[in-house]
Amino acid sequence: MDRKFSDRYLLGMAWGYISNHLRIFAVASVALLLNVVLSILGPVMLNFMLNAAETGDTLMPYVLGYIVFNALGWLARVFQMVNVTRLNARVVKEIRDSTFSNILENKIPFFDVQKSGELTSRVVNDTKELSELGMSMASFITDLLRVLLTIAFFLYLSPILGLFFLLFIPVVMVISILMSRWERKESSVWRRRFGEVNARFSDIMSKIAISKAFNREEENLNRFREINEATYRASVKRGLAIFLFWPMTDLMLHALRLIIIAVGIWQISNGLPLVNFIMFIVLLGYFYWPLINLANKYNSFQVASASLERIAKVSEDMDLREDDGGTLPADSICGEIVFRDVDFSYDGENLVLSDINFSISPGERVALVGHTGAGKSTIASLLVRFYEVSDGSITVDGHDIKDYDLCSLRRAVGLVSQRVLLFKGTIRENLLIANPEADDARMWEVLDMVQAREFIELLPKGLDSKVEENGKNLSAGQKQMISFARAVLSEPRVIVLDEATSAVDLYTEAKIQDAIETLLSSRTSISIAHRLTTILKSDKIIVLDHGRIVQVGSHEELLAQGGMYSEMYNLYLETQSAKYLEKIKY
Amino acid sequence: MSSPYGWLLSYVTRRPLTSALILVTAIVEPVFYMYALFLSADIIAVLQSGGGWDQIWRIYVVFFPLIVVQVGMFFGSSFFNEVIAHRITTDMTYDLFETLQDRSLTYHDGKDVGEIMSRATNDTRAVNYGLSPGVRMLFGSITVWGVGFYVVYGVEPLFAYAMLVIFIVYLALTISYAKKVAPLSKLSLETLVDVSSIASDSFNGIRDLKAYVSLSRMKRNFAKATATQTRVKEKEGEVGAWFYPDIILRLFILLLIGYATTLLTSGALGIDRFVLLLTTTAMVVAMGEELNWVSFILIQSLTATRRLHEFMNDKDPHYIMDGDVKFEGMSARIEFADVSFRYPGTEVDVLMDLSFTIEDSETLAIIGSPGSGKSTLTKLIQRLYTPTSGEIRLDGIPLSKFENSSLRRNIATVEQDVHLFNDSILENIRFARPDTPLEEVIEVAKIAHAHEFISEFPDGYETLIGDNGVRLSGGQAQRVAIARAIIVNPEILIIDDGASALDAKMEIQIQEAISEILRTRTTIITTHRLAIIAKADRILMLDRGRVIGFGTHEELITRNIEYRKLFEKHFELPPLEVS
Repeated sequence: MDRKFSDRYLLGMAWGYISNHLRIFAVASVALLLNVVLSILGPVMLNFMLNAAETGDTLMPYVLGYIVFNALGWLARVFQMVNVTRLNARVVKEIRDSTFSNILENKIPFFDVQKSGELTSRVVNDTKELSELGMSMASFITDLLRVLLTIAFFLYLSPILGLFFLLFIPVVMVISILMSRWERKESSVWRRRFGEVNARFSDIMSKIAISKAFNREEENLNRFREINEATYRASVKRGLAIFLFWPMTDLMLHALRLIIIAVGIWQISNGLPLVNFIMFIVLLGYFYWPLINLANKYNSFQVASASLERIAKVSEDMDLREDDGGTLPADSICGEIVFRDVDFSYDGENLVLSDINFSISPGERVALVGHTGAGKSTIASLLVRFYEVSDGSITVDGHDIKDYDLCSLRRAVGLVSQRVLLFKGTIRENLLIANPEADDARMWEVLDMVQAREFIELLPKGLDSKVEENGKNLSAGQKQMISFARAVLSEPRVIVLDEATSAVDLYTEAKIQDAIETLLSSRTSISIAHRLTTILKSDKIIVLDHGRIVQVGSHEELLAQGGMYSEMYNLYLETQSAKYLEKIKY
Repeated sequence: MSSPYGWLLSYVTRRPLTSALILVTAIVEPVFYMYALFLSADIIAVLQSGGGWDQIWRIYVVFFPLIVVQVGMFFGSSFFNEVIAHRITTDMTYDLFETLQDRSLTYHDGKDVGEIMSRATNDTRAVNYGLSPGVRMLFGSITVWGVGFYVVYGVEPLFAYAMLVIFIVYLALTISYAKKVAPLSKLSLETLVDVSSIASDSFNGIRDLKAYVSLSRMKRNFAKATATQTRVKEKEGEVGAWFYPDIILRLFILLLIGYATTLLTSGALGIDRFVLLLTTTAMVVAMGEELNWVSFILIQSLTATRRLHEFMNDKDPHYIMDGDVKFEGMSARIEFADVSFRYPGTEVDVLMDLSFTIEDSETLAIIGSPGSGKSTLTKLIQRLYTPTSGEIRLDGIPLSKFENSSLRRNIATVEQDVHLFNDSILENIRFARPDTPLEEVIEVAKIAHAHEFISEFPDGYETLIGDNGVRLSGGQAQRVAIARAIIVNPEILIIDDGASALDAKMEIQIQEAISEILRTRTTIITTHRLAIIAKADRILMLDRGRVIGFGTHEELITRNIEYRKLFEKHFELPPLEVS
């Protein structure tokens, strides 16, 4: 397997986060050590107690020691738990924050391939796996120390009996590791099935109107039963793996006890004091259960390391980062844009754009025209550096766009895209994304301009009304109006409108014409639209076909030229004209 | 189904014998387990009295069958307990799905999918955990305490009675304690949902975030959400660590052992009994910790049961009753008579006093600005909502008299925001008629001009769409949605702004293809394409829920100023007639 990150790198990464909380880590470690030492000191006292009872010495100091050590042990455990959970919580928060931030800094092609659901799972679930890593690490150390100390105590009490305990360790470890590996396999199958049930459940419930409209309820139910039952079957298998494991551990414990008794009797006949033998019987559990835990931990470490690696893959890989090497500020650009011999391909094979050459003077109004898939939106994406050109160059005010500071460039070039995404939050928050400094008065002014005031005023809380997940409580047109308002608020030097008003009806579009005018008039603009009427006022129209520029010119020039533009325009006009009505009227 | 617990019990009692058997073994098995401790003590007694191997052997051989029975019972009870718990929650999930799917659209409008999913996943998991291992471990713990009581009684009855009191106090404290922790762990889950929703929102909207240079804003929001989550987690851990009932139990056991050592020195207690006391009380302490955990998951499980039960019995005041008229061989003439509609819980009528008629096989175009009520109107026809007042009639019969399934079988829609399911393209197209053969699906896809692009995918019609598959472009998704509607072969076709993501060329192609279908059907189309509007038999103009124009294109273009405004830019209009 091709691994980009070594175990050492991953360990260093984990330690990097932990070392930010050295104090908590130190307190947790001390508490942990105390806990282990105190918990073994109790039984040691017990041993003295029994010896003293045998010889008739005074018991009091040992009884007292026994009680005090036990009580202190409890306290140490409390401190250990408090500090370990605190450490866990903080480390996980840091990992989450930095994973999230790092992912956001990745370039757009990365997001084209990665599903947002999977990325969310990296940020939420894989990091959760790590929170158990901190916990496991603590109990791993505790268990290890406990096993070692008990073994040392055993060897001190009776070397031969102690040796049998030592010999038993590999047997228990191998069986436990194999069993829990089997359990892990079945669990992951079950978890996947369970995930499928949940995905189906939420898929159906979130689109319930469609199922109702298409009379699909019964079929849904049948299909749901199928995957639900498959999950049940997987959970039975998983149950078998889990619930064979624990009786198995019981069996091994019994076996160990029988061996100890048999060997013990032999040793007693060779002069081992009975009290020492009794300590073995009493401390059996002290030794055994931590040992089982150790075997279990071994597997959970593997899970955690896999999670860490998955996180690293999406958040630590510098090759995925957006190249932000430019330093030029773009705040006061005039907006002269030149595409020179630009080629572009998404996959490195098929050119989506080839030989694109055009220039736009400051303040000029340019329209991109072409059929679906001609490469119009790609040109817009290149300009804001969502993608890097494969060949050629794009310059703004004579400088390559790579030389500009990325944030500054994007602030200067406003892109209103086709797919409107509103964030869960209030309408105000959704507007502030475009311009954090905008006050209420300015927002209302802009909302007025885009004809959105009316419907927002009707909402129960105005600007503070909630936008639900994916803006499902707003219509497509309303969402576009808000997106448009964002663009106006951000006051860019260059504006790119990519089908910015496609979901708004003609009537409303006519009404927001003023807003469009204001937005376009004082700056360089590129607009992309299916509705050709909206681009008639452009200074220059660039016609694209299959990634190439086929025509450039003003509306009149292009019409006179004939060719693709005039074809498209006539077709469009026809669909909007009375003549077309005659044709399709039956 | 009156009480939540009775409801839960009704699932359990579907398998009475297995359940009873599990319960019995859960109680008996720990006795066998602890019997090993007694045998160990007996061996020590023999050794102390200087007994030989043959004496010990008699005890030793009892061990073997004991072990077999104990391990066998342990496996049987725990495994079958797990199986039955999953059987129960699998059934519960299914029932929940069925119940929710049956609820009205109004009900779903008011519910967050997140909340529904939290019931379907977290709560059913909690119930599952409570049933296995929760209940079994509870009984197991109580048995261990019982055996412990027996041993302590043998040493000193007074201590045994004290132990009984401590047990009750311990249980009560533990339960009250678990009640304190349970809300925290619920809160921690909820705060995690916030974290996850900010993350998925940001990843979905990454282009907007980058375009508006507002990454730092989202990072701040995210850090705020994780900080809240961290605080809850720390609190939860802290409360969990200071489990004070534990210290009471431990002190009592220490006191008991201290007392026992004095008996040991005075010779009143044999060393074998002393060892038995040590090992059994050690188990009681261990069970004490377990009881803490068990009561915690039981409390969560009971809360989850109550919540699920409440959820299953939620009132659905807008449930749409079924009529018995079948929509077969009738004319698809739709009449609106004074129809008003207001979404429940809101204060503004979305539609006000609508009255108009669409004749059979006619095409009605609805125009109006966003939020004017176009989509709502179409949903009323599908009977996804019922009018607040007034009546909608189909072939003269009120919609409420129809059987819903029969009605919806004859109405198909292409909705505005196309929602496709996380499934193959094939399944999405034959959504309403899952048995449709592939050939027919291809036919329909061709009509909707979807066949071409579908064939270009490596997996063709089996291509998965959504999270696990390709993401269709707006135009492609719309064409799949059109195919999905055509396959129904409906009497009434509703196209809600259905062509907005298609360019003019594509739309004309589809338009031509489906015009044959349109001609024989009643069609309602909300659109802003002038050609479609003008070609419709009748046009309905809506403004903030009111009708501001209704008639044919010819009528409206000559009489309605608002209507004329739409066409002014593009058409040479006939003179305005002042009526």
